[in-house]
Amino acid sequence: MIGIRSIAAYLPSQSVDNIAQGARFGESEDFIRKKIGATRLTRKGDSEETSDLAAAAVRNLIQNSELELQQIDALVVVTQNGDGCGLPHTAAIVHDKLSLGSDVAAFDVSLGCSGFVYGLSILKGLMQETGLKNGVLITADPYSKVVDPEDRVTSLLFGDAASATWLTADAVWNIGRPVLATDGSGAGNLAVREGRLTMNGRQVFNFAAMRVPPQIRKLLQQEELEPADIDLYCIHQGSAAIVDTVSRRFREVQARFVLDMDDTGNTVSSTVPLLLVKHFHNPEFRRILISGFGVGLSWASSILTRRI
Amino acid sequence: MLSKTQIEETMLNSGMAVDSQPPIPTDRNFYEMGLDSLDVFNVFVELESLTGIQVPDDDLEKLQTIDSIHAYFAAKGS
Repeated sequence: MIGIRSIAAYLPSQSVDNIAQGARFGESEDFIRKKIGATRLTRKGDSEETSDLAAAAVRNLIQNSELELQQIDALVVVTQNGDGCGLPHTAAIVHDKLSLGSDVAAFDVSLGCSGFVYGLSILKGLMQETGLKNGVLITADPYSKVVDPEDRVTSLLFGDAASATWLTADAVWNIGRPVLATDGSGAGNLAVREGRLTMNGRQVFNFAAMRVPPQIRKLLQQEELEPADIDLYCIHQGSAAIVDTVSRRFREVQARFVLDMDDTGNTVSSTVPLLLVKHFHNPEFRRILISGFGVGLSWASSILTRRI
Repeated sequence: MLSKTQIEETMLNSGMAVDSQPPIPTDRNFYEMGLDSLDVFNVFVELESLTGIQVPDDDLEKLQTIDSIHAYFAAKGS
């Protein structure tokens, strides 16, 4: 069975002081710390492309694991802000930058904050169907490409980052059957218009508060588990307020919901893997619930179970 | 029918820091009490869930006291 063997991240070295940025919009330090949850927002360099972030994450994965570049036979990039205008697909550009051989399946997945959970399922399914041995799932969606620095609603939230996750048969974590959902009627609440990201903050907040907890409960029911059977809840770090609101629906295990976005901000599909990088090797955690939600509107949840 | 007490309890249970001890003055503006836009979103998520009535974004701006929220939901039949 295909599962997760290793995971790595790449954070750009530049960042924005979000407290200073908040002050510019009349927001208090308390609001930035407690409601946004990020005092710094990572920013890619002007000359860095999405594929550069992605390739850097893969190189970090290679450095921190037994995987070798020439062993990779599947490469999936989750992004909606790929190189150029998305043609060619960013996975092909990453393939070239890593100098991979031609016997590699490479494609993009167009999803936002739910993309990591979807991507795990897509790549696992593909590998089991085709017999591919070593797949790498990349998340790299630098919103700084589309965020208007003068827009208070979005400019205080998003940071740039990338992650790379190695999927193979000899794995550490099993990937459970996900619960996947979409509400396209809300697509306009988080969208790029004329090259600029627009967000109806209230509607996106309501969506997360109303849709995500029932999905988590549905997943637990599907797997015949209770909330207390999950050791760690790694949900999308949309903002501190959103993590708090979702976790309040699970009072008995609220302390197991991770909030850890202070140094990065909301890095879209990379928030969940960034959390996993930190907790991957902790033997105390046997079951981790992951949940991503956002653009689409799309939401997806799954449970990772430690094999060894 | 949604009571003023239910609205106050919803506010207090949503975890926001109100710079006033209960009972919350029903005519006091939320933002003057130290609440922010995300606190208000949170209150309305709960109230919408409680009443089944959706509050359009345009109406939200007018609802900044317990009294005004109470009157709004009463007019909508809840």
